[in-house]
Parts: sequence; C-alpha cells; structure tokens
Amino acid sequence: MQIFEERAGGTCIMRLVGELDEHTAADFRLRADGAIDSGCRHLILVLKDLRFVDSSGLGVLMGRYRRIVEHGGQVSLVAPPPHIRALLEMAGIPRLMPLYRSQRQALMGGVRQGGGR
Amino acid sequence: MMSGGTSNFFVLRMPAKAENLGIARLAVAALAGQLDFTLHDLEEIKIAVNEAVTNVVVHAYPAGPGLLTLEAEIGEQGLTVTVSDEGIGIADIGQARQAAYSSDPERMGMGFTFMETFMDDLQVVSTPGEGTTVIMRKHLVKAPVPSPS
Repeated sequence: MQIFEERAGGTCIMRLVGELDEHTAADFRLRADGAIDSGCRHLILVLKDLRFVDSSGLGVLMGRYRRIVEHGGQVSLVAPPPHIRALLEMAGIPRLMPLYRSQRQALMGGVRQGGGR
Repeated sequence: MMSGGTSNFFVLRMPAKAENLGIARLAVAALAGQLDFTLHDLEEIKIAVNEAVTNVVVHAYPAGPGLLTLEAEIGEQGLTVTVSDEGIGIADIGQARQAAYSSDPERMGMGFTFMETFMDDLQVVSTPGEGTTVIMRKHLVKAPVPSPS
C-alpha cells in the first residue's frame, strides 16, 4: 500500500492507495501516529484508491480514531469504493467518522455524503 | 469427480505470514472467478478468506513461525474454502466467534462476523494444541430465468 500525505493547517490528509490488511496496517498505523504526534488535530483519509480493507485495517482505523477524538479532533473518510463502504457500514464506522464525496467537501466539513448511494 | 466442466481445486501450503494474505485471497478469487460469481461475490469471498488466513497469521503460532494450508474447490454447488493450521487451537470457539470479541484494543474482533456474513456456511473445528480448521462455503446462486407472461 502507498500512502500520500498532505497538510492543511491542523488537518492531515492521507490518501491510501492499494490494500489495507494485516500486512500493511502496521505501516498505516506508524504514518498516522506520526502525523498525530506532529500536531495533526484532524485526519482526512481519502479512500477512493483503496482496493481492499479487512478487519485488521478497520481495527487500526479505530485505534487512530480514538487518538484523534481524545484530542478533540475528527476523522473524516472520503469517497470509499462501494464494496469498502459496505464494510465500513457493517462495522458501524460512518456513525463515528463522517463520509464525504470529495476531499474539498471534507476540508470544508460541509455536505456529508448522505445515506443514499 | 474431476469430470471437467466447472470442477477444479487447488491446495496451497505457505508460511503463516501477513505477506501471504494477498496470495491467499487472490488465488481463491481467481478460482471462484471460474464460476459465475458476481464481482460483488468475489469481493465478499476475498474478505472471508482474508479473515480466516489473518486469524492463523495473528493467533495460531504465538511461539514462532508456522504453516497454513489453504484449499479451495469449485463445483456445481459453488465454492468451498478450507484454511487449516497446526497451531495452538482455539479453546472457546463460541467466544472467538462473537462479534467484537478481541483481546487487543487495536482489533475490531470482526473476523468471524465477516466470514459468517459473506459466506453461506462456516464451520470451525479446533483442538487446543493441535490446530484449527475453518471450512467456508459460498453457493452459486443462478440468476432466475425470467418467466414469460
């Protein structure tokens, strides 16, 4: 998996490309924790190029969510492919981390991707 | 038994390492793809296989490296996947299969839930000290023939 990082003020944007599983979850955890430790208050995860995620990936995602929320921040998810979105919903994740259609909308914190398709 | 048609199978033996998860799910998806499963079905199969193999990688061999065996077979009924190890086994299968059961806060405890949700049948057989075998089946649902009228 590849991870591309950007920063906009106190918000870190990470684009995950490839497959997030038990093998790659440790790398994601290191990178995200590094971002949080360096002062990222909010985390936007761009998932449009994520091809696969499993329970290990979701577990690491939840771990980072807990860290961000502890400091009053928010984790937002952008444009997950349909099969990944279905998995996120099964795990109850959109109740904790809002879904957005685009990175721009996530940055504005507006127009959430609603319950429809 | 192997009379051609849609019957096929493979057996893979590999170290229980996270690096091999991609091989496991792609191999099974490639075999399942020889049947008329939808792309959606194939995504579900990949997740279920992935979770079964992840359990072996994470839990079966705490003392050191071990091996796992992945078998997949297709036939008229659909797909059967068997993941087995010779690891420590699961003392309480009922507890392990509960949603959100995990001893680690970084884990969702959703592995068995995903296997149960995405496959039609799931059997777990385990003997502490000897190993665990997970057998999963996914049926091939034939598209209904539109009725004339």
